[in-house]
Amino acid sequence: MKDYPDEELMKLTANDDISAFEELFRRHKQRVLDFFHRMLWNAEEARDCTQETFLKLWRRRGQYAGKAKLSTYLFQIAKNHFLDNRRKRASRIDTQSISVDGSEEPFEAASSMNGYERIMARDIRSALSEAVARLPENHRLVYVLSEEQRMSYKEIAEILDCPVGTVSSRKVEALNRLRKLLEPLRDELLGRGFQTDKDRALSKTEQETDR
Amino acid sequence: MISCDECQKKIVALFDREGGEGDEALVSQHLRDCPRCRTFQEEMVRIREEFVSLPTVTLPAEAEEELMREAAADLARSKTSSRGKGARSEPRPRKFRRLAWASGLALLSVIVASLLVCVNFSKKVEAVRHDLQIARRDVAVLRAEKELKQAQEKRDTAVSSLHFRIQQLEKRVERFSSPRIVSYPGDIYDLSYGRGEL
Repeated sequence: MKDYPDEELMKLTANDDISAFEELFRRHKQRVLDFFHRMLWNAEEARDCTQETFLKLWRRRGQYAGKAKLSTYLFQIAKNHFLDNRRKRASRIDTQSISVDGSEEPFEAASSMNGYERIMARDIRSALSEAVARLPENHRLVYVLSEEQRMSYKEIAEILDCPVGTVSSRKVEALNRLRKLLEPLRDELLGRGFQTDKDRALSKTEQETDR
Repeated sequence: MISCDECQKKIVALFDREGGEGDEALVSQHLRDCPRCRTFQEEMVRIREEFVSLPTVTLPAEAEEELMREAAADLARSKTSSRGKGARSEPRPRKFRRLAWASGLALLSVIVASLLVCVNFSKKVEAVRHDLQIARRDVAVLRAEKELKQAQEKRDTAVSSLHFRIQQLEKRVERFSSPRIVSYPGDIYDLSYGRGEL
């Protein structure tokens, strides 16, 4: 069953095959969880939403027509669940409740970081999480689906039920808002006072090569 | 030379692998002379790197077990209700799809039947209309014949009354032309009597 394509598994699921549904869950759970985590910035809520989304997929197993990719269908359910959830709560994300790194897990700083770098890395991640959480829902959806899920504009347009041009302009708008929100940390972000893991690895390799 | 807004849009699209043909050349040309867009590109890349490297969370194994238990319970519930009520509640759409097909076919056959009936009916109407026209023509002929007959009868009556009158007049003429006058007719007598009085 592991070699089966998603659409085939969904057909089996529509015929009440729980093992096919289990395989689908294993394949897509992390993507859906990451989506909710980036949208809600609350690990516990993200886990609940992921479970509820898959339960909805199970209950609507007969409705999948097979025209779109299963991931598109799944993320349509996830997006609608997210919007329903937000409407029910009728409140914006409480940015104060966002933990430093956006998760409840301890922040794992690179061992080679010094104290200043650790603080800066923490600051940037915290500021970025907060900035993304402050984006309007439509822009945040586009940004997360594009950056986190690496989906094409066409897929995002299908999920959000809007034209491809709207996706493109929302992406640029989201990026400009993020740049504005992160302006106080621009120097650190651009590596003038801070290096990312990638930079650090590169510089380390360079140093070793020099030796 | 493209504008900064256009360039930034193209930069984002290129990084998302959504750029069009020739966009790369246009962007490179613009970036050579525009420090503002160069900063935009640099910041965009940094933000992307930071965003992707943000820590993620995982689902505990119990979550999967719980979900599968829930799905199994859901399936059992739907099977029980289908046994109890004699109809499957899950998955409804398939049932509805079959129903929709059946009703669609029924609707189609009704439409075809009504079309046939309409065609047949219109043919019948045409035939009746034709018959009616013939009948109208016949009625008109009959009416004309009747009128002609009536006119002939009137003419005959008039001719016979004329004959009768002629006969009477001939009788009178005969009476006045006779040489033996026995008495005067009343009106002549009355006239002479009146004259005497005057």
